[in-house]
Amino acid sequence: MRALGIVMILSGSVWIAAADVRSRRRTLRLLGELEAALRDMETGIRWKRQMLPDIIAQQAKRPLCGAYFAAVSDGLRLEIPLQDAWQSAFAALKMQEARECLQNTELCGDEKRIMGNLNMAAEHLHKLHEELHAKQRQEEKLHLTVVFSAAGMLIILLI
Amino acid sequence: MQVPDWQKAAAEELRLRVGQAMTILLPEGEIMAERHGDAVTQTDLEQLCDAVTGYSRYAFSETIRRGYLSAEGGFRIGLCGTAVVRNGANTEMRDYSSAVIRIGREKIGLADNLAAQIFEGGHFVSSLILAPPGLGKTTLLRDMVRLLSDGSEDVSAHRVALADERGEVAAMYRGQPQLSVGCHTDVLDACPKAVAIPMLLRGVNPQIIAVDEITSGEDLIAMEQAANCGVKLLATIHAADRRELEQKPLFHRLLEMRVFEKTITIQKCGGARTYQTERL
Repeated sequence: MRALGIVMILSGSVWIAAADVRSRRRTLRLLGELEAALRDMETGIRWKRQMLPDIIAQQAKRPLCGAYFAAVSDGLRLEIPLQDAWQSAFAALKMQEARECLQNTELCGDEKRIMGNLNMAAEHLHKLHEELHAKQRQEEKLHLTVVFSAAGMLIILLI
Repeated sequence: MQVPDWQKAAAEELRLRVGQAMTILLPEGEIMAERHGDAVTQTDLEQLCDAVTGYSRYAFSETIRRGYLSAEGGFRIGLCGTAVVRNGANTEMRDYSSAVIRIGREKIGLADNLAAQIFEGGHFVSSLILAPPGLGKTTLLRDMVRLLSDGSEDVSAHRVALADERGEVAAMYRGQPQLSVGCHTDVLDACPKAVAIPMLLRGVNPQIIAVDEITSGEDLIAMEQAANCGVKLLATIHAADRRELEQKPLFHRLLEMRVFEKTITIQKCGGARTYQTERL
């Protein structure tokens, strides 16, 4: 009975840890995608001279962050000013630091200003991504250690 | 706006100057849009530019550099501000100080009565439209382009190429003319006429090339080359009448070249405009 209890506690812990790892991985992928979207926007302006609403609409096709860009496009269709539509779309982003970074990205003004702002935001997201990735690796190591220790403890208890 | 509908209908331009209330240009002069209206701010002008360009000013940098923007619907926004000059040429505009929204109006059918006078033996003859500023040279040119391009019961359809350097004739917006220039018209805009004419000649094989505002000898040389290739020409020039035209240095070149065969002079008699055709 005691052993069964330990197994259940361990399984629960592993399940929670796995869910946490999955969520962190998803956040990492989202950050990577957002960074790529901003870089794409910059390329669209610099080399293709595409219109900003068209560039934003293209980013709406991305699997993880597409919904935010789709919300910006919807706002523009409703004739909401771009900056307002952008800020309200990214208000739904759960990660506070990324949310603040994107909401503070100004998309008004001339080419240099917009590209500079997009580049700065992409760099910031890249830094966030790297920090989170390093943290995640560290935590994964910690989780692994805990799991092995718990498994060892279980074996000792069962003996 | 506290302006009666009849004045709104007659409005030619809306003028926004930083620190001043918006004004409306009517045929009789400039009036305030509102008696105690708010002063226009630089942010208003920035927002106007963003709205017109779809938040993509960089995509319109070539025309902003020249001091204007073409908007959807045939409107044209003239811009003033601080020019950033490099190597003697304006490279960009910053700190906008005023904007003039010119309301695009077309008068379809204006050229219909002139059709018989610009054709000889069933063929179009190269024609030059003369008028002082504000009498409707561009409006007439646009409708003549439409008529020649679409054709009518009396006029066969022609392949017309339009060199729209200042973007006032076709008012192109994202590749589409915002004003009627006919279904057989190819438009090359924002390009100097002397460069555009040879490009059109080589690229789109036109029967007629139309240009707005001949201003330089280079324009005439390009037109002469086109005329030598058998292309007919339709153009406008600033001159109140034939006498004023004769005083222009360009006129002697025009006569020597024998590019144009007819002139169409626009004059204002009372409130109405009259169109007089003469052989050059």
